[in-house]
Amino acid sequence: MLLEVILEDDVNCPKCEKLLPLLRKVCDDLNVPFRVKFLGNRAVASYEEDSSSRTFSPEWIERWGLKEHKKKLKKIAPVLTYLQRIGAQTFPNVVIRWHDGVRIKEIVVRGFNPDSKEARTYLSNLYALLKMLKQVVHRR
Amino acid sequence: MVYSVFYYATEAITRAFVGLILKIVEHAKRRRIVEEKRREKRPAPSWGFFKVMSEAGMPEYTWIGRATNLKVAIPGLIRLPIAARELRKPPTRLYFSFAEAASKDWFREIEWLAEQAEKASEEVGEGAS
Repeated sequence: MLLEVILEDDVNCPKCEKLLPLLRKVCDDLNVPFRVKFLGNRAVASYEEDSSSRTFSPEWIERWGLKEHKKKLKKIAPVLTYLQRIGAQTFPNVVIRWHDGVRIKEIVVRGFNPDSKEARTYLSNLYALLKMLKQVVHRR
Repeated sequence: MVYSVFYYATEAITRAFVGLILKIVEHAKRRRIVEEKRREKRPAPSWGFFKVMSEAGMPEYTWIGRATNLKVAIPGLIRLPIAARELRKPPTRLYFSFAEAASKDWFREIEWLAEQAEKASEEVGEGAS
């Protein structure tokens, strides 16, 4: 059964560098597959979009956004178009993917601040979520 | 007293006219004994061929049995001669920021967002059908 964690990373990102060993340890403890996807400007796969740049596009908001987002779309559409044009990306993004038997479900967590007090809570939340998902996925 | 033909004809017409008005009034005041039954939505099909998404993100046809727990998966490489039912719910993707993920109520937010996503997909499905 599919359950995996993907870290969307940039080679020049210091926050990603700090998150990588922590997240790898969490996944190793739980025996969950973990892989890193390098998407920075100098990386081989830099042409790929990351999770956050996709949400910046007006098309994404029209298709998937909430009603509140759609209301504000007219005002922020030029900014979003600009961000799409320059290929703005934010790192790191943690993508948790699993298959529930019918469809793939994903949770994307954007950003990480290693210096904040909440970093520990963040990792423990991720640990709890992965542990719960592992039980759900392997029970079927 | 001798009644003329004209008298009988007038009386018959008047009786018919008054009778019709009384019947209309009675019909309007009549209590509705049997209430109209609301049409129920057809339940979602639970067996047959379904088009699902495989773990690799590719389309896959699955036969789900009616009485048995039989599931047969056919990869979407071939054109299936039977029309497979599309599942209403699309792949779900939820987005969170670092602050949200670090908060204590994160799991509640996940549940709430999942419910919203399911509702939205149901609305889209009803609109399409």
